[in-house]
Amino acid sequence: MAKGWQDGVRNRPLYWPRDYLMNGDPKARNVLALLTALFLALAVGFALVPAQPGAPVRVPIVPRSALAIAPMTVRISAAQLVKSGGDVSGLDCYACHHKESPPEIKSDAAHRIVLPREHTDLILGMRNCAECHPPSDPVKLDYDDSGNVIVPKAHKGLVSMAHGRNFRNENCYNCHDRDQLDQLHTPDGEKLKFEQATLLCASCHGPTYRDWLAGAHGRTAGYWDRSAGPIDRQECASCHDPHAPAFTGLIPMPGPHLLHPLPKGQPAPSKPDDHAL
Amino acid sequence: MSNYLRFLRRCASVSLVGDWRYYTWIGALTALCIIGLNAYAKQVVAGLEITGMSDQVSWGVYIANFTFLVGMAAAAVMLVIPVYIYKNEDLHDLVIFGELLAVAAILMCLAFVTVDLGRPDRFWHLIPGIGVFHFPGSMLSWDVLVLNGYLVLNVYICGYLLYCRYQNRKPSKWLYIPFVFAAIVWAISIHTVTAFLYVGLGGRPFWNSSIVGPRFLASAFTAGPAFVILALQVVRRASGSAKAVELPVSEREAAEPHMIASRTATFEDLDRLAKHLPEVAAVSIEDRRACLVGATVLNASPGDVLLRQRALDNDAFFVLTGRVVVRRDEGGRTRITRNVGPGEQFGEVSAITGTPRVATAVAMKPSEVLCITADALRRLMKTPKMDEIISWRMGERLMISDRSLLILRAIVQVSMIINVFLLANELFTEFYNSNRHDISWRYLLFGLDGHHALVPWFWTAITLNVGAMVLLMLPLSRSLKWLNVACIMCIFGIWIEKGMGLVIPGFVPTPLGELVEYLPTLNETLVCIGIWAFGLLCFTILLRMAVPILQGQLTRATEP
Amino acid sequence: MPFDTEEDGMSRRSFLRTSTVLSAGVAAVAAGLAPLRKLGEFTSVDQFLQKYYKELTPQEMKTVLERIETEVQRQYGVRPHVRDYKPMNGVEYVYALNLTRCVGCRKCVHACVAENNQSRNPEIQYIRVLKMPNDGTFDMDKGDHNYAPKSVPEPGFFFMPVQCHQCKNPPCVKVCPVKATWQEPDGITVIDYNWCIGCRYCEAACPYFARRFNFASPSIPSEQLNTNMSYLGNRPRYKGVVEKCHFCIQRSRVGRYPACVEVCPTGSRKFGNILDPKSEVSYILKNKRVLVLKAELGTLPRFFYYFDI
Repeated sequence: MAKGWQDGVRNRPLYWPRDYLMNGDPKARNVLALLTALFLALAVGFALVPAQPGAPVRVPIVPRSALAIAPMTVRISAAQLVKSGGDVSGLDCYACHHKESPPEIKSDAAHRIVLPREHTDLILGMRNCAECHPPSDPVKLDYDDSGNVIVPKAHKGLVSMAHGRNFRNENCYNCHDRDQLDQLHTPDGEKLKFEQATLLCASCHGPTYRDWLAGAHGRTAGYWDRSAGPIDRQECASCHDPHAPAFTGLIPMPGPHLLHPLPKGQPAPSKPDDHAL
Repeated sequence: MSNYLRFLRRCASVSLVGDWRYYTWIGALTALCIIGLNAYAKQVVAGLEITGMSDQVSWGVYIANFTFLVGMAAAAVMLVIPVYIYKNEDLHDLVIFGELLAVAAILMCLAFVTVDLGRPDRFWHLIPGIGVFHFPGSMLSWDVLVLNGYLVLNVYICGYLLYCRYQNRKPSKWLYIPFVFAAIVWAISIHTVTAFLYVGLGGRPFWNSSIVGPRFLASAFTAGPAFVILALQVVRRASGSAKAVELPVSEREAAEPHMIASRTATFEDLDRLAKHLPEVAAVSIEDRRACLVGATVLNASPGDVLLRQRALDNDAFFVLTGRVVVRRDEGGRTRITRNVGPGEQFGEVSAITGTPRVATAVAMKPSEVLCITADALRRLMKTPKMDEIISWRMGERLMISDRSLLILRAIVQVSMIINVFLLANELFTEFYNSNRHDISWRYLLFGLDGHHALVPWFWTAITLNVGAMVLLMLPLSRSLKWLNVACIMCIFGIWIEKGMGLVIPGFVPTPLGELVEYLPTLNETLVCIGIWAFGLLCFTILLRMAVPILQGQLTRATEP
Repeated sequence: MPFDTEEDGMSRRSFLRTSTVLSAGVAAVAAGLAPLRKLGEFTSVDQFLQKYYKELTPQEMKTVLERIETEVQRQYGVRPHVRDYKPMNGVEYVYALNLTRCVGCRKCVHACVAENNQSRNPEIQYIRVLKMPNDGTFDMDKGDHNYAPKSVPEPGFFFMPVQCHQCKNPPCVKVCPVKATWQEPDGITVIDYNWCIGCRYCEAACPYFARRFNFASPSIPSEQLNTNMSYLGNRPRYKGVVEKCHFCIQRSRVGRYPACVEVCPTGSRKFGNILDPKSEVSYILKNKRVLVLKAELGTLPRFFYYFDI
C-alpha cells in the first residue's frame, strides 16, 4: 500500500504537506522549475553584465610647480644682494646723484610722494613705467601752481609710496639718508647700511621685530631642530618691499572636491544660513 | 553524538521540504541574496566609493540597518522576560520564536557590519589574543563581544531546548535557565552598548545626549515585539491548512468518541503506560486503584475522533500505543498543536481546569488510548512526580493563542508611548532654547540651506509612530487586522527613525560645519536587500525546523 | 509502517528535483562572485599576516619596509625609501597658526598633498581651509569651504585652516577597536595602515573632521610621487584604510619643518618642540593670545590659533 493511504482514504497530516513533489503536485514542481530558470538567468546576467562602478568626480591634477612661492612675497632685497655678492651696481646712488645736491622729492596735490620713474624697477619691483611708457617717449610731468606733480587718474596707487597708512610716511628721507644716499638712518639718527635694513624696520615695527627674532613672524623653513640642520629665515625686505610692504592678493588654489557628484537639484555644500539666532 | 547528528540531518532535510508557497518564498529570498552577494563582490573590488558614503557622511544605510537590527535582536528576547520572570505561560513557547528571531537578526547585524568594513580581510585583527582587541576602551570592541556572545547564547538555548523537545526529554533547568537570564541581561546590554557607540562621541552633539540610550531601547522594544506579532501570525497560518480539512471517511462518520471500541482499563494498562511514562511507577497502589474507577481503554482506528473542540466532557487521555494528533480550529483555519505518542497525555487541560475542550484529538495510527476521569487525573497528580510531568507536558505545546498576541500588543503599546514621549523630550530640549546644538535636528525636520533630503522621511516616521501609538491605544487594535496595521506602522516608523533619523543627521553638518547630504547608491541598496533576504531566509529555515519540533511532529519517536 | 504521516525529508525523486535547483543556485552564486576576479592586488599573504606595528621586531620591520618598497615600485615604477622613523627624545610637537596672517591661498593644502602622497582621485586633502566672516563669531557652521574668489584675502573675512590637532586626549584613539591608531611619545597620533580595518569609527569620533578614508584605491601620478617615505606617515595607503595629517613624520622626526609650514607664503604656520623653551612655538604660547577649537570637548589639541598682538 502506498504511504499515506489507509483503506482507500487519504490521510494527510494537517501541516506543511510532505513531499508535494513526490505526490506529483504540479504547483510545487512548477515553482521549482521557475526557480531553476531564475537562478540560471541570474548566473547568465552576472556573467554578462560587467562590474563597472560609476565614474567618480574627476579631480584635475594640480602640478607641483603651482606650489612655488609667488615672486612677490620673496624678493631679492638689497641686503641679500650684498650678502650673496651679487651685482650691486644698481645700488650705487652716486652714479647718478651728486653728493651736494640730494634728489628732490616730488609730491602730488595730496602731498603723496610720486616715485621717480628712474627708480620704478628698483623700488616698485612690480610695475615698470616702461610697461606703458616706452623709453623713446619719455614722460612729461605736469605740475600745479604749488609745484606739486599732477598724477593722472590712471596712475592712482601705482606711482606713489605705499608704506604707512594715513600718509604718515610721505618722505623718502624718513628712511634714506639725505646726505649719504648709500645708507639708511633710523628716526633717531642712527646710521645703517643697506644690509642692516632689518634694524631700520625694527625701529618702528618693534613688536613685529621681536616676533621675527623669536621665529613667530615670517616664514620658517628648513630645520626646526638646529642641531640637525640650518633654519631658513628671511629678512624683512625679502618678503616686504619697503616701498609697498603690504602683500597683494594671491589667487587661491583649488578648493576641496566632493567624493560623489551632487544629485540634480541639490545645492553645493555652502555654509548654512544664519538662522536668526 | 550520533543521535545529535541524526537530529541535525533530519532538521536539514525538513528545511528543504515544503509546498509551493514555501519554495517560492525561499527561492525568492535566495535570489535576492545572490544579487546582494554580487553587489557586495562589486563593492569589494571597487571599494566603498561604490556606496553613497563620503568623508562627510562616513556611515550610511549599512550602519543604519545594523542599528535597527540590534534593537530587533534585543527585543526578541524581551519576550523572555514575561515568561521567566513573571511566569506568563501564554508566551512560553513563543520564547523560542523570539530567540530564533534574535539569532537571525544578529546574523544580519554581523553581515551589515562586515559589508561596512573597508578591510573585511583584516577581521582577524579583532580577535582577542590573535589580533589587538581594544577592550574596554573602545565601545566597538564591547559591541563585538556582546553581539557574538548573544548569538552564541541564543543558538545554545534554542538548540538545547529544541533538542530536548526532539528527544521528548525535559530540559535540565541548570543547563538553560541561567543562560536564559544571561540572555535577558545580554539583550539589554547589546542595545545599550550599541547606543553608547554613538553617545560616547563628544564631537557629535546630535548623538552626545543621554537620552539616546533610552530612546534606542524604547524603539527596539516597540519594533521587536511588533515583528514577532507579525511573524507568529505567519507561522500560525503556515502551519495550518488553507483549504478545508480533508477528513478521513471514518472521522466523518464518527460522531461521538464513545462510539470507538473501548474496554475497561486494568492494572496491566497502567503498567503498559508506565513503560513509556516512568513516573507512573511512583503512584501508590491505592491511587492507581482509585484512578482505574471509570477508566477505559479506547481502541482507535486512524481518523477516529477522540476529543472534539468546544465539547464539554472532561476526561483525560494517555496514549498507550500509536499516535494521536491534536489540532485546533482557529478562525476558520485548522492548526496542529501537538502530536502525541505513547506515554503522552492529551485532554488534560479540560480535566484540570474544567473548561470546554480547547482542541480536537484524532488518532493518526491504530492507537490504544487510556481514558480516565478528571477525578482520577487529580488523584494521580497527588503524586508529586506525576504532577510535575503532567504539568510540564501541559505547558509544552505550541499554542499561538490570540491572548499571547495581545500580551505582545501591550508591550508594543507601552514601548511606543515611551518612544514618542522621549522624542518629544528631545524636541523640546533642542528647540525651546535655540542654540547651535540643534542644527542637526533642524536639518532633519526642516532642512538647511536647500538641503532637505531627509525631511520627508522623518515626518513620515513621526506620522507612522504617532499614528501607531494612537492606534494601539484604541481598543480597535485588539482586532488582529488593525493590530497588524499598527505593527507595520511601528516597524517602518522606527526603521526610518532609527536609521535615517539617527545615524545620518549625526553627520550633517560635519564638525566643521559642512553640509553634505547622503544618498545610498543602487549597489548599496542591493547589498542591504541581500542581507535582509539572508536574514529572512535564516529565520524562515529556523522556523521551518523549529515548528515541527515544537508541535511534536519532528521527534525522536518519529525517526524512520 | 503503512501509515506514516511524519514528514521526514524527501524521496529520491524529489531530492533530484531539489538538487537541480540547488545546482542552479550554486551556479548563480558562482557567477555572482565573478567580479572578485578583478580583485588583483587586494592583499598578499605577507600583508594579510603582518603583525601589529608595536609587535614587530626590528628585523621583521626591515622585511616589512622592503616589502612595501617593492610594492610601491611595482605600482608606480619608482623605488622609494621607506623608513620607520622613531620619535626623538625630549620632543613634543606643537603647531601654531597665525590667523592674522593667513590669507587663505590653500598652498598648504596642496603642498601637503604632494609631500604626503595623498590620493588625487578620489581626492584626499588633510587640510581644510575655512573662510570665516569677521562678524564676531567663531562658529564653524558659518565657514565656507568652497571659496574661490579671484584673489585672497577678502575684506571682511579671515581664513582658518584645520587639520589634525594631534590632541592630547584624542577621541579617535579611544574608539579604535583594534588600536590601529595611537599617540606616539612625541605627540603625533599615528595610524598603522596595515592594521586598520576600515570601520571609520575614528572618522565619526573626530570633532575636527581631520580623518580621511580611502573609499577607493588611491591614485597618485607617478611623476609626483614623493619617494622619501615613512612607514607611519606618507607611504601610499591602501583602499579601505583611514589616514590623516601626521605632522609630516618623515620630515619632523629628522628635524625638518612639515611641508605646510615651509610653503606658507605669509609665514602663518609655526611648528616646533614645545619642550624647547627657545622654540618659536614656546614663544607663541607664552606671549600670544592663543585659542583652540572646541575646547569644551576636552580634547586638548596641540594646535593653537593665535593673533599677532
